[in-house]
Amino acid sequence: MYLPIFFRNRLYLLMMIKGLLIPVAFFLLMIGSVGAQNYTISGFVEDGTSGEKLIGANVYDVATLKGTTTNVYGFYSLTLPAGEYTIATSFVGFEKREFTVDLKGDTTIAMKMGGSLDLKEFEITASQTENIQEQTQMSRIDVPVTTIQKIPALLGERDVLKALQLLPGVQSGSEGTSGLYVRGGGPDQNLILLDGVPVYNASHLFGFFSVFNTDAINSVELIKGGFPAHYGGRLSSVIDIRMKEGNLNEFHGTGSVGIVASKLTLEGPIIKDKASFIISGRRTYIDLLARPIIKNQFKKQGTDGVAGYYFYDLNGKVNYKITDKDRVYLSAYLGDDNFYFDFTETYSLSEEQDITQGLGAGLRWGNITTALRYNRVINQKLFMNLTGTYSRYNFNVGQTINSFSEPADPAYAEDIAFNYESGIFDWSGRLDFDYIPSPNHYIKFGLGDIYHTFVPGITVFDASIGNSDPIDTTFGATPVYAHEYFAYVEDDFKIGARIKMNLGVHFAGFKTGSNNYMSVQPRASARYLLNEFLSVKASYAQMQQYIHLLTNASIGLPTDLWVPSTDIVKPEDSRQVAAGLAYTFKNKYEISLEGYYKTMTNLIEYKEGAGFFTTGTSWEDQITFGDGWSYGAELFLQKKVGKTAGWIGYTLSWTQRQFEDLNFGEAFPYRYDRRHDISIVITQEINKQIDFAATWVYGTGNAVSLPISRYAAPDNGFFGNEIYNYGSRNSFRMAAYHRLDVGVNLHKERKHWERTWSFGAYNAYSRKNPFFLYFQDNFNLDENGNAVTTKELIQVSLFPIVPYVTYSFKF
Amino acid sequence: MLLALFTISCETVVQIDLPETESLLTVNCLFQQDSAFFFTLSASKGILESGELEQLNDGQIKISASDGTEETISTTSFDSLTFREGYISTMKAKPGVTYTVTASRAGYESVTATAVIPEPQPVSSIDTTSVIIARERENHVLVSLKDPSGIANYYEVKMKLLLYYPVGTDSFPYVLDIPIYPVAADGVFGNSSDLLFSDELFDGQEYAVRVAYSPDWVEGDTAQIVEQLPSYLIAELRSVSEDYFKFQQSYNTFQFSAGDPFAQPVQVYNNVEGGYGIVAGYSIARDTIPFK
Repeated sequence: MYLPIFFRNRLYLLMMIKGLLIPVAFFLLMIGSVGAQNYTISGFVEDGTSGEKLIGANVYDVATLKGTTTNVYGFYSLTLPAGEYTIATSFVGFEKREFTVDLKGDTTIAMKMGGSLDLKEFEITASQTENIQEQTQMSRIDVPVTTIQKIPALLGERDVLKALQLLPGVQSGSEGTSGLYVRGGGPDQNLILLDGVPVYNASHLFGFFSVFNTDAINSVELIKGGFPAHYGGRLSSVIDIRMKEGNLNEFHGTGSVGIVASKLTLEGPIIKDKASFIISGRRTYIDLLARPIIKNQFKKQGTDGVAGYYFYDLNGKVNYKITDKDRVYLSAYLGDDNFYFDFTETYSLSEEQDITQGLGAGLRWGNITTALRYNRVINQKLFMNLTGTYSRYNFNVGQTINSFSEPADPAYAEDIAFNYESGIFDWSGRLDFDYIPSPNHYIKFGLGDIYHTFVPGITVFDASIGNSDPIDTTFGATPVYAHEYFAYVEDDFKIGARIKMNLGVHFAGFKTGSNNYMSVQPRASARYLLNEFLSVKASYAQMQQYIHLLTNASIGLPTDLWVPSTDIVKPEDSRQVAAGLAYTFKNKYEISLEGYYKTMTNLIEYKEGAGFFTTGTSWEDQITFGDGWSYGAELFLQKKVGKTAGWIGYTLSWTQRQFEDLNFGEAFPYRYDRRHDISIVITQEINKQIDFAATWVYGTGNAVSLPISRYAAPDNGFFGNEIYNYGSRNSFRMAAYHRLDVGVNLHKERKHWERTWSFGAYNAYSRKNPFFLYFQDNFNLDENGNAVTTKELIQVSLFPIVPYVTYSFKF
Repeated sequence: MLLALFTISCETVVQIDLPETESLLTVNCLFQQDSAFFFTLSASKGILESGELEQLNDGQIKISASDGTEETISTTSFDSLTFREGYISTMKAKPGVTYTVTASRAGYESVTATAVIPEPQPVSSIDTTSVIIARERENHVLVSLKDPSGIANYYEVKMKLLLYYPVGTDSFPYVLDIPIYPVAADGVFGNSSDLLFSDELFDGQEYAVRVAYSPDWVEGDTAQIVEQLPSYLIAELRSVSEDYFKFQQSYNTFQFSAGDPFAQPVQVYNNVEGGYGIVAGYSIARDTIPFK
């Protein structure tokens, strides 16, 4: 239903095809026609044991070091002149593979990497993947999932987003939460992709845990700047998370039992070497454990009731290799958070009549993402991916009150229901191509469309009270429908031995009602090799964002509203330049030093005085528009492999906002303007049975607005009206944040399975980090017996030392 | 509840200090044309300091007008209208004259403020109408004005009812404030629930600003009087200075959001250099029509 309407009604699609694909096709023909005696080796690189595709593996000619890397589906294509070659394949954690090929024609070779290296013996001897100084892309970090799984975490729940918070340029929001603030951007400016599908609310339990189950994740990539043209739609970062595909050869499982939640992941072949599945589930169970206690408490009070909270995640993926050239994937994520409270009480109205009253309340929010993907190797040099997705994020809060009498009397009958719902629903389709005409060019192009349905807050109120007329009313904002469409082309190409560039353009538009916002976003990255180990890099990226998150809290409340660009609310824009150095030291340590400057326009903020409980006005009336800018320097030293692995990151940054309606039009520090941010992550393998990990973070305190003095209002009189003077907005700094987490994993191999006990502590030295501040009024009597009110500024700290223990297993 | 238990069990509370802030003079005066100035002078306190704000009745206020007149007020008097003690001038404020006010008191740095009263803009006409919006009847009042072009003008509209209470054979005039509110359809008010507006949308044009009042505002005996005796609707159009406009808007927002822990902080506009407060003026034009 959706596609025909899309094709019939939208002239812009034709414009996109004509405007983008025809020049691209012409360009490809030109490149492809050069060097007619070249031949291509292509295929997939996979883990020989599990059949899992390896993303970013290096495939290169050993003699000339000309090579390529696999794309996100493990596909590679290497075009070389006819001749005899020794081709090497390498990937972190695997033994390098080499084979000789006499290239006389186009060849397809599926490369199966040997078993994972024993880290104890592992030593890097050659380029394992494309080294950091060789990559065109800057401001990009791959975080090994194995490291994430070792990092100590709050209550033992390993978390992708919290691991990303430990990287330079990424600020966390409040204590314990998984919000990300990248290079001065807001939490809505991160494009969080799970298998290519945007995830709108990536947190459980008000942000204390993210929705990503590390057992089901294959790779995590963070991009903070110099965005390649195939990404778009957000200003500040791309977090591309790819799920595992499932073992094609053997049945395996992993699981864990922790303080908060338990997890189980199963994977295996459906048809050996042809089709596989992976399914992974996680659920908290404190509600189940506490249920008898809570019920008992209610009973003690002579009532009947239950209350609790839980969240769960369910990830699943099936892939099927139709032929060597065709493959189809179906992946899905389903997750929910649910608070519930039900309470019933019966009391006697008279000797003959009893009244029963019930109160129910619930708070529920969750995501669904699904993706159906079809890959085809069209020819040796051209790879196609067609994706259709559906995603949904919705938030629902409701309350019911009912009462009835026994024997029944309509005068005592009451039935009231209140329900508030908001959300965002997306259908999308996209078509992507990878074209690799030679080792000197890697071209990507594609187009797509997302059909959004925004539901920015609808309230339903039903009431039937006694003998009065029933009320049935619905009010609030009406749904908004929009198309977000895009097309892109980029080429990652080499000029000589030292220069490599990525030039691209991302065209995007957003059509809602009579508005049709469009933008052409140029993207450019370049590196110049100063020597074999050191390169200088620079990038420029222009981004536009059409959807916005209205939030007045820092902890990712589910009440945050996703809202579209409208007549009043313009799309947000950013421009970012970055420059830096990349260096690989002793082939083990990657060091990068980057400086960046980013400007952002049309940002939104709540107006002064506005809040979640501000009623009677639409969301558009509660916001104001302004600009922001951020600049700084980031130092990152990473060691990915070996017995000792981890990283050290340091960020020095300044982030400002300026809104005409805020702070009297003067610029002010962003809440997460953090001058210094340091993170140190170390994982240390003692032996095969024991590994140890520790993280230490330090960050300048958040900038907040606090009243500093009070003075009389003009109407100060009998009522004593006073005005609080806040000084400049966000002029008060909370105390600096720092924390040490430690953990140890004890492994033991059994005949058919392996178990791990993990022990650790979050905030090991129990630092009282600020979560929020508030003023407390204390009422006392002075020596004369007069009432005296004193005020105190109170800092609430959430987590002291929090130990954890987790038992996990795999087979 | 479980979350609360979980959170409370982890919560630790620490008392922290704020840097000390200097106590500064606060001078306030909202004045209108042809009336005396009424100033209040007080001292600010740090947010953590306890006790009532101290009213300073032993200070000095000096008014210097651009027409050359000056007055220094060193004593306070009791104002029977506001039931407050303050510094009352003999000088009366005039539109178009710029007043520089200097307030001083031993132990404090002197503070200054500059203010001017805009020329009054007459009410061209008043009209009442009744409309049905979302199946509800709304009573509207249209107050027309002619806005001077080329300069930014700010207004505030108020509505009053003039009644003549019968006492024996006589009747006594009595003026009631009518609670009115902006009509959402009238763009000049924006989203604000204030009755303040600027001429941004109608600069230099004739404009009829629309406000609404609830039919239930008169009750009991008053309702009967309105029904039976002559009564009049008085539209009051205040031409307010930019300072007055900014202060009143921000102060209204400050008061509206007070007590909401989720509300964004509000910075109240202040035009007193070296201290706190507001010194701003307005002029009033009125028109009256019979009310039914």
